[in-house]
Order: sequence, then structure tokens, then C-alpha cells
Amino acid sequence: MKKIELLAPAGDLEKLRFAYIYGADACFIGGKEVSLRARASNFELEDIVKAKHIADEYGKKLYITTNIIPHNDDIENILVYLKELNKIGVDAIIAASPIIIDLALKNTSLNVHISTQQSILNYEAVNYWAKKGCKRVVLGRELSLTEIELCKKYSKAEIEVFIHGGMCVSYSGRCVLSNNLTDRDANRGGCAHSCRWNYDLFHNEELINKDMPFSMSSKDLQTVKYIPSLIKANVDSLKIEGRMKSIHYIATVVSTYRKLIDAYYKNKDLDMIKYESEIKKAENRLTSFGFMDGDTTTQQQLYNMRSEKPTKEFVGIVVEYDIESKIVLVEQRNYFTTLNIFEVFRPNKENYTFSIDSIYDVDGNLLDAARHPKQLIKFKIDEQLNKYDIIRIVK
Amino acid sequence: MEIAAIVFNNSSLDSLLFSETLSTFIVGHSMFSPRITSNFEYNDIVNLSKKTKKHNKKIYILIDSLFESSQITSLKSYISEIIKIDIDAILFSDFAVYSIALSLGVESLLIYSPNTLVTNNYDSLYFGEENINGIVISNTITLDDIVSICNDKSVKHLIYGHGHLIMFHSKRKLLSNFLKYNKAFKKEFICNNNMYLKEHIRDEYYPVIENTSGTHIYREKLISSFDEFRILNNCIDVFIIDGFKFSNEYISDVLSIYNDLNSLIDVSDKIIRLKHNYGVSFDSGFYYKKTVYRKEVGESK
Repeated sequence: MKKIELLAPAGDLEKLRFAYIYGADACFIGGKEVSLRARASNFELEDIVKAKHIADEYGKKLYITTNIIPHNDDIENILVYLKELNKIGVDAIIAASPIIIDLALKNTSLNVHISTQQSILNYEAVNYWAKKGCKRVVLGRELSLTEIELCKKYSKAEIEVFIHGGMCVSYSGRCVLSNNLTDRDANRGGCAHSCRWNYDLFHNEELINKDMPFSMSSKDLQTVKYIPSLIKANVDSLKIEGRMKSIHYIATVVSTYRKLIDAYYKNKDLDMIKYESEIKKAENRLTSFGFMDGDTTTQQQLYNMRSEKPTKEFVGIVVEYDIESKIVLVEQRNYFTTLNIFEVFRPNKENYTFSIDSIYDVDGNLLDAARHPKQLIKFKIDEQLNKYDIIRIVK
Repeated sequence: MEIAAIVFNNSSLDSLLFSETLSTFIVGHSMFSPRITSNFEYNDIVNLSKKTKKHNKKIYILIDSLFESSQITSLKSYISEIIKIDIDAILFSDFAVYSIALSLGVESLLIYSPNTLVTNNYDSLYFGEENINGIVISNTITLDDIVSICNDKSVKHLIYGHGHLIMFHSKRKLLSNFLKYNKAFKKEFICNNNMYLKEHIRDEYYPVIENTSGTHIYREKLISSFDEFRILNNCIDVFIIDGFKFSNEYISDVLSIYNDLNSLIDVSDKIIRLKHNYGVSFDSGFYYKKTVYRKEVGESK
């Protein structure tokens, strides 16, 4: 039986590498030309070439999002772009508009995945695209587990399901709230997330929400406890959202789902609480399980709170470790001192908690704190560490 | 150019049946269309079809919901039954409807109507190859782009030219959930056409309605095409008026204005009366305004 794919986002080459190292089987990145998330660090063609080399280095797959709904101004160079992607040898494009899908299928050998922007929720719609030659469909996030199982049962294309990350409140691809409130086109990468703003609710002229603003904002998706069921349903790919997210987020989330999936396939006991606790360390927004159990309730909404809380726990990335001296070289990513308690978090190994006696700069000068972004810091640690391991504060 | 109207309800249809301007009635049922104001049951459609044919008019059926797999069986039954009636088109948004229609050999009845997704010239070519009847062009593109799309004659081109335009549709019951959270739930707030959202900075009141299909938010101002009618008349095949929030009488009044425009009669007084009688204001949507999306554009709220 083919193992389920874990698909991760990457906003730049560094995040791409981390996603693969921390356990993604495939990554999706945005091409500058025709991808949503215009504010993400979308990739020029030369960066996509580098990304493909990184993917090949790890024996993993690379998908390119080409999922805008283009206007006439945007369509001139689409075919040229698709042919370039074909030449690079990316494993698939993720598309939503007929022009991109059709041109790719008719003029290249690219695999085409249908984007969630099409809001496909049933097997008949899946099979429409399968008949066209599309390899995979990314289902809309409005489906319950039961509906996903039913859809997969009768689908003739691969099925990809979102398991983690930000959720559109509206049906994807069908929302023009941002367009109308800010002139920023949600279907071409300019979404202003107007669904996360505060509103007042009126009935005729009577204000209904006297105590708190009306909010549509949604908690992020987190489906740890549904992973075994999704695997049993023969879903082909589990997708993590977040091209704009940090290295720490990507590494934590990818690694957690990786360990869970691997434990499932090895018939190990699954400690869901442990996995959920691990994922919480990278959360910057409250999470819930979306539509997995059916229609959403108040439990899936964010009310009366600032939705994002930046995390300061991620403090460093291991650059190198000397086995003889037991000195590690770390690139600082957030402020820390020797008063903190730390853990190292890494792929394929349990977390390790430690404290630090002293920290030094690369010239051996004693420091009171690691305060400068990307500053190189040295300290002694008995546990052997590897390049790309992540250091967090736990206290 | 034909003029079609999404009928508000099953009453007072005579003025619409006798209208010289209106050529097409658009109706549906809430089980298969997310924002229908009044359900037309099977027999209602049969009766309406007979009446419309008697008056040389057409009837389109809205089957434009997004469907889940568990709904496919009932969707197949509905389409199989509906096509037995003398109808002229089916507006759809979900490719499940296309696949079912294709299996029944009636894909030429279909009009693709996804609200936001038909935005460029290639869409016309693509759906022409699918052998469907027409496509409803998105309202988020400029008039120039609309005219350009219409240059390709592979399919018919339709546009929502007058009415409250939908901005947002969520499956979530956003009003119910918010009100329950605040212990302020009242049944009267649901399926209520008089609910509004106001964003804290903008001085606009957006109609919001929660029904069995979820939560729908509309633009505050209605789109009108009074100034653009002559241009659209030369390129669009079907101009759609949406009577949401109003009445069939409102549709009649609107039709009268577009009829006069067609005859080059001055409509300024009629427009003023329409605004006054129904408390509405209009704008031209994105006809003359391009949306932005590039990273370098300043990000203001």
C-alpha cells in the first residue's frame, strides 16, 4: 500500500530545506508569476531551479502553486512560464483556472493538481478533472471526515486534504470581500483577510453586538487526532498550509505529523496528547478541527481576541557541533540568556531539555545574552546535535 | 441582448410575464441554490414553464450550490426530473452538475455561474469546448475585460448587471454561532433580510443573511448598469437582474428603466424615484476599477 504523502509549504529556500529535513515528502512553493499569497516570498524561476535541486538532494517532490484566477492582463506569458516549469522538472503544478490547467495539460508533461480555490467537495467534480487528465484534486476544507471518506471512495484522481493551518472562512475562490472592501484581489494573491476584521452586527438600525465586536475569524486547523482515519480512508496527501509561516512553525508542524504518520504505519501506540502538545509550541493562533466532525460551532471561531500571538520561544538553529569539544555553534533567531531552560527539537529524535552555563560569540567573548538576529553563538552541550536542529526556550 | 431576472417569489408574476423587456425568468430551490429568496417546487416550475412559454419567454433553473458527495444522489434525481420540464437553461457552479448533465446528454443546457471564476478570454474558449450554453462573467473585472471576453463567440455570455452582488459565502453559520456565544440568539435574526454588518472603519452596511446554505454577505451598494447598458447591449447575450431583498414589483420598475434606456429615453427621473421608493444607492462596481494584488502596492486596511 502506498504510504500517505506529507505535503508542506515553503516560503523560501531555507524553509524548503527545513521542511524536507523535518519530514515532508513533498513541498509546495509559489512561483512569482501566477501564485496566490502575493505577500509571501514567491520564487523566481532561477529560485525554482535551486528548489528543485534541494528537492532532488533529499529525494523529495516539489510542487509549484500557479493558483491565481487570472484577468486578461495576467495571461500573456502563462504558457511560456508553464513550459519553463516543465523544463525544470517540477513534480506538479497546483492550479485553479481553466487557462492554466488546460494549457499545462495540452502543451506540457506537467502533472496538474486542482487547487482548493476550485472548492471541490464531491467525487463527481473530482472525476470531471480526472477525466481531463489532472492527477490530483485538493479538496475544499468544508468537508467532514465522513464526506472525505465518501469522496475518496469514488474518486478517480488522487485526493489531497488540508490537515493544518489557516482556513478561509468563505468557500475558497468564491470570496471577494477583500476585493470590495480594499480593492485587493483575493483571487490573485492580494487578500486583505477582511474576514478577520471586527464588525458590528445590526438588525435594521439596532446594534446587536453590544458587548464585543462581531467576528467571523476562524481558528486555525489542527487535525492530529484525525490522521489515522485519513490514512485509513486512503487519502493520498496531507497538506499543511503556511507559505508565509516561519521555519520554526514549519519544522514543528511537519515533524509532529511526520512522527505521528510513521508511528501509525509501524503500529505503535499513538499518544495524541503528546503530538498536540508539541504542535502547540509553534502555534501563533488558536486551533480547532475545522469541519472534520461536521458543521462548525463556536468552538471553531475566534471571538474577542487578537488572533495572532507571535512566538518568541524559537531562539536558534544549530550550524555545527564539534563532538570532541562538545561545543555547538548556533545561529540566533530570538533573544535568550543563560537564565532560560531550553530544548532542542530535531527530526527523527526525541526533544532534549538542557540549560546553558555560558554563552560566547565566535571570538570566544563571554556574552550576557544572545541579542542580535542571526548572531553566531557558542556554548557547551553534552548531547550531540546536528546541523538544522532547532533550539527553543521552554522556560 | 436578453434580459433575465431572478424572480423574488411566486406571487405578482403577471407584470413580469407581460413585460416586453423581460425575456427570461430565473428560479430555483434552496436545496440546490444557496441564495434563493423563494423556493420553486417542481410543480411551481412546471406551471411557470407553461406560463412563460405562452408569453414567449424562457426559464432558467438555478442549480448553483456547491455539493458534497452525500448530496450527489439527490442532485442526480433533481436534474433528471427538471430536464423533463420545458426549461431553457441550468445555471451551475459545481462540475458535478456538468458531469451529471453530460451523462444525461443535456450539457448544452448548462450555463457556468461560479460568481468569481470567469475572468479572462480563455474561459470562453474553454467552456465552448465543453459544449455548454454559456458562462456568467465575474463582476470583479473591468468593463473593458468583459467586452474583450465577449469577443469570443464559443458560448453565450451573461452578467449580473443589476442588484446586490454577493461578496462572501461561508458554509459556517456565522450569525448563529456568534449570537449563541453571546447568549443573544434569536430565531428572528436567521433567514432575515434586514441584518447588516458594518466594519469599524468603513461607513458601509453590508447585508448579511444566514440560511440553510450558510452565511452570505453582500455589497452595500447595488450594482447598476444604467450608464453601461448600451455597451453591454452590444456584447452580452443575457443581462441578469437580481431581485434579492426587494420584490417582483421592484424588478418591474427596474425593467422599465432598462427598457427606456434601450429606446434612448431619458431615465434620470425614474432612477431618482427608484432610489427614493426602495431606499437604494448604486455604483458601477469594478467596471472602471482594476483590483490590485502585487506585493509592492501599499498595504492599507
